[in-house]
Amino acid sequence: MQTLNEIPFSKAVKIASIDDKELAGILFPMGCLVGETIEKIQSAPMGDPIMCRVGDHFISIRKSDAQHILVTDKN
Amino acid sequence: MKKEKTYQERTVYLVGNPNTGKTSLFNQLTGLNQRVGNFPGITVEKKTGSFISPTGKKINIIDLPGVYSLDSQSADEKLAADYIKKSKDEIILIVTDATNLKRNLVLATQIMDLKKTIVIAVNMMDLLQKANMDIDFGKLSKLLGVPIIPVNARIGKGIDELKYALANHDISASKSFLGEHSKHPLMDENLLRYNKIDSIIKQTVHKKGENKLALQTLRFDKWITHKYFGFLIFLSIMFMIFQAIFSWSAYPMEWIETVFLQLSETIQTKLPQGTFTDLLSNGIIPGISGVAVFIPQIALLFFFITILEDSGYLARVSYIMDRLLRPFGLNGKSIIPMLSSTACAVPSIMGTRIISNKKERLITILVLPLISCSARIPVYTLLIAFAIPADMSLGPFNMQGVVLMSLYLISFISALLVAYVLKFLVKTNEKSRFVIEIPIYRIPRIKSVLLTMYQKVRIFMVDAGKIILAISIVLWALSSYGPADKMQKIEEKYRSDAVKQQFSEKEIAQLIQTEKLENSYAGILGKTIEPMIKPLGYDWKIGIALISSFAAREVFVGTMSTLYSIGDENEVKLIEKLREAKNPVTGKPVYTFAVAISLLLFYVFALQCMATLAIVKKETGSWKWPIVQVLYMGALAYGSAYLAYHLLS
Repeated sequence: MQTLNEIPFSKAVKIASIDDKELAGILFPMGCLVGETIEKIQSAPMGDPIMCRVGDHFISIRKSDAQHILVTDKN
Repeated sequence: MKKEKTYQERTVYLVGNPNTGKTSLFNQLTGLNQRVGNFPGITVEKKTGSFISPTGKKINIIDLPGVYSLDSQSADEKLAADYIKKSKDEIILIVTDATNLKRNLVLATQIMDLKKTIVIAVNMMDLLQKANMDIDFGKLSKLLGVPIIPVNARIGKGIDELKYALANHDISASKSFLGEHSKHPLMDENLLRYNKIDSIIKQTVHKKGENKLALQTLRFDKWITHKYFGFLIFLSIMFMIFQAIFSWSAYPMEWIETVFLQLSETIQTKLPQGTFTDLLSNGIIPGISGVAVFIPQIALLFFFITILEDSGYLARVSYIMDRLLRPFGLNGKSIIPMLSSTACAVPSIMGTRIISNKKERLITILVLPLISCSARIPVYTLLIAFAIPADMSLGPFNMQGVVLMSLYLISFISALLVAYVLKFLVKTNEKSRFVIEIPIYRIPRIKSVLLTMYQKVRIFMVDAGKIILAISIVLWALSSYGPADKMQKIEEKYRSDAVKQQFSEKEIAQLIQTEKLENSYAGILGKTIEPMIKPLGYDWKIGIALISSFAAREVFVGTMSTLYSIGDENEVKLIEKLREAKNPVTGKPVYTFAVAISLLLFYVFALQCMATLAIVKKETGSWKWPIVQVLYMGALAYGSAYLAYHLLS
């Protein structure tokens, strides 16, 4: 399984799990539900944090947190 | 008796995720019938309002802070969760975003599991079409077992139906959403909840095509948060705002100033002479006008900040600034309180509650008062207008505006540098995080922007007005009275025949006034600290102004107005009085360019605000940090003012 950091920009994938319990507790109510589509859109001017599209909505997280989001291919 | 009350009155807690239009809905439900205060014991802003239903029931609405979930860790969210958990006879009105139901139902179903009386408002119905979605509300309501009212809070659609539901829905516990399974550990419960929500969404929400809102946001963000242009756009927006604040406010400020001058004059000529008339025309009116003059600038500042927030841009500013702020021990989220600190540090210090990391939050709190707030605007405006000619320009820009912008830049840069130092002094082992929702772009509604602006200006004016009124009365008394024997000696001195031959009656009156002011209690106070502030180029009159503005900075202008109107029959504008002020010993002007710049820098750095000290004590839980702030900011102020005065004169 790959982490979100390893996925190129503009490629939609699915959230498989979040392996940091505290982070999962923050991201889950913000719509990062298991099975939801996630796509890296762009990075901030200095390369970090990144902006992601989750479903039809947008969140921003740091790369250090993105490495705890495990993803699988969309189908 | 009590039963009757519950029949005629009801309380509703308004809860919901951030960015669901909760505030607009609150405004629609309550109109102007609302009050802003604090939750008891803590400093989270508490908005309450009410409406009367057609059947005569009074429905009170309490707006709780926006939350994503009931298990959240930040102080704001804990408060909302506590209120919800403790509710009994209250209705929980959950506001959700029609285009984002899946996520919003996480919070809604968590509250259902607490078995509370629930009404769900599905807001932003106007966006459904653009999002290419349909919602089967009947089915949704049936599956969840709670009343669901679709609304559009922006134009007030569905509000009557919502009001009806709030007035008539029976107070009874909702059925639990997870039921039996809810006693699992956190992750399992989340998964279970997600699966259930997902199946409900699949049955009730139908996607008809591409979500145009998301596409539109993507298109805008290609440029607005661009890797290279992002900073440039941010700086340009800030620069334009400051230019606008300075130039748009010029005329209304003149009008207000003229009105107050005329009022003062009318009172002096129409009312019988005496202590009361003197107190009014030389104490209270100049004191109040000194601040009232700045209503236009403060209003404009709040106006622009509200627009930035409502349009969705502020969240993006956090996003582009996070990496830049991190080396300074701050967080991308720190930029929002930092920007709103240009209006007032007090609500911004409360606003740091969105930063969950304790170290980052403490550092943000400690440097926030460095950011130039609107209370400094009166001081800046007066001194800039004094030191920089109005027709001077730098390229296409008005020089006064450029100087104002530079003062703000100095304040931001110094905040960063101090934060950098603090990073090594404050210890923590908590992990630093930055997780933030980026809302879609929306055109701010002018009505709600104006309402927010009106509320903030009113709070500011009432709070500041109370202090200023009190201080201008005290100051008037201190500068009108002094030790009785000394005052008598002055009278006697000028009553001698030798003096009478030398000067005209009018000149004598003037001399008596001046000497009386010097020997008044205020004069004595100012003279006592004069040796300390002399190295900065200040005289004892500025000393009095400095002492009085330790309560609040904007008092400076009021104090100067009061001090310079004592013993002066001619009502001229303060700035002209300052130009005329001469040192009685050397005969040279008191207010030189060097003194003006030295004073400007003093006010950039010094922490002269009781309200800030009180709020920092409350938020950090001890007097240690406010004392640290007063000391380090005082040292910066004194040092920079000293340097500026000696380099420039």
